[in-house]
Amino acid sequence: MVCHSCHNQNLLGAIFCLDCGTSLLPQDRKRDTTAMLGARPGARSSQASSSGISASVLRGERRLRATVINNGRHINVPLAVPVLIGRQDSARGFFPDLDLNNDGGYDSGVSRRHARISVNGEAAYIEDLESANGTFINDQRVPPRKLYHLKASDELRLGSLILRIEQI
Amino acid sequence: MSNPITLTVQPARPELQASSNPQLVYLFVKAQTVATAQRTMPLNVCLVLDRSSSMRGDRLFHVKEAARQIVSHLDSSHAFGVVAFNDRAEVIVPSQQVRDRDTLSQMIGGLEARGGTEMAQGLAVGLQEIERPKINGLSRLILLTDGRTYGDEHACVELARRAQRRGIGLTTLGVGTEWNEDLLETMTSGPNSRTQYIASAKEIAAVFEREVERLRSTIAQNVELAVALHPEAQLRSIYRVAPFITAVQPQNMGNGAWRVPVGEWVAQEDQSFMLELVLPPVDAGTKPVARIDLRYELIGGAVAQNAASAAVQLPAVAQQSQSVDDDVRKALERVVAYQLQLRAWQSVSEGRIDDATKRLQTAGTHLFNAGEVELAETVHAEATRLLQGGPTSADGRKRIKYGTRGLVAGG
Repeated sequence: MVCHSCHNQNLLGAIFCLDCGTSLLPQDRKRDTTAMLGARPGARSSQASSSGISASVLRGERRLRATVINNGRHINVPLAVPVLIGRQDSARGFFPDLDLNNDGGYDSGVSRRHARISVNGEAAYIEDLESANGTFINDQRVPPRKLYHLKASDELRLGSLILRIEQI
Repeated sequence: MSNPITLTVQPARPELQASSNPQLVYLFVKAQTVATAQRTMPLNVCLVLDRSSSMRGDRLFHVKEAARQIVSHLDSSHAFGVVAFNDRAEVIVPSQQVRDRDTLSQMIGGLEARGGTEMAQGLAVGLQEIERPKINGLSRLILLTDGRTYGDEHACVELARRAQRRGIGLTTLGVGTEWNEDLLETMTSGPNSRTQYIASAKEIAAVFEREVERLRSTIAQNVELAVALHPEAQLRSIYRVAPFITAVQPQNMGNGAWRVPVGEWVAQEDQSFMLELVLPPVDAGTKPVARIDLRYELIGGAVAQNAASAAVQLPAVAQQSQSVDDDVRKALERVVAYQLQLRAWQSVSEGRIDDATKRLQTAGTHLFNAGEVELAETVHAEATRLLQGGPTSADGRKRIKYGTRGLVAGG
């Protein structure tokens, strides 16, 4: 079922579009056009659902969405290639994909090369890169250099900095 | 007492679509408590109060008033304590059985506001205090704050988890607009815990009173939904709709079995859940869709496992009807509005204002359809503010975030 508003492909039986929330029922078609006046025709957003099989997964644009709980910053990075998490240090040549310098990363004990998130099929994994202060999933320490399953709603802790995983 | 909780399951549509594709099925599960002779639950409550300088004046006045009111409602079958925190924590009322209410009220009166906000200190001392009295009942930390704590967020989450592991629930109340909602929400994502937004200091006493009243009328704990599906079906998401909206994490037990822990059960507080299932392809004919069991332990007297059950089977037809049950639709619209506004704030923080505005507008439409007219107007006002290039208001944002879940107090 294709959403007439954002053109997202929804599963059979869906009542509201997983991506933009517009009603997919034929009897509602008229009602929603007024609310969606601001929509650009044919606009496709890369938003995905908050849980489960998301629209972006179906389209192959998988993303990591997370919130840094110290400061509420929202993280949104593509997972097409493995994501290196750490602190940027240009002088020493560390350029992580996800830089936590501005989130109190130094004080919280985040290493320059701390951990890496990768995807294999449906599952996502985290690997601790022998960080000084450790990587934890839901308070369980992850041994270094091993892949551990990471899923939505997990609490990922790097040193003492907590990221809440919203979508992966 | 036999089965004080009854269970009904309403599918959104009366039929399945016979198809070679997987399909989405919504089930609305309502659990209602049957009127029973109500026992009063013995409580062990410890208030953990922010006394930083920003609490000075109205806020602290109302907090003290609220604490005194709680004391006036408790007797010697209950325990009560107060811990206050700024840069450090201080025990204002050591946790104890409530014997001499006047003395407790006097102790509360000595509370003054000054200094900064270090929440972890308050929580740590609160946890120590609440474990002191030996009450065979329900233990709950009620934390109230109006500001941000810096650098000890991780310790706060760890203390919250420690409490929850020991069966101590946590209610966090945010007053005003400065507090860190991501932190409080993370702390209360465990069992028997929740965060509520108090817009106006005047509401503090009423919110405290309602919370204590709720806790006293708890009738069951370790409540759990057990969902049995076709082995190839998925329980894609589950949202609690009433008494307040929140995403619930199902545990996949394998072979089509799912467990959904839902915490404590308060008498006269009906709960409902929206389940999103993805079914494998089905051919024509009547198909079993789900069997749902509610399990719980009654409080007071013997701990007994009880259960209520409901099973759903639906006919799969070539042309599925487009009609959707009205109750289910309203519940679904509230869940969709909640999800949309969450993603709208994420878009705002990423600078995608167009996207945020669109999502808020759609959320407003859903709220309006679900009968939440006032909240729909707040959402539309915020969307207009964004559209005109203005920043969103902290109050509007919190009002929408907690309003869509049914967790807001005060005008």
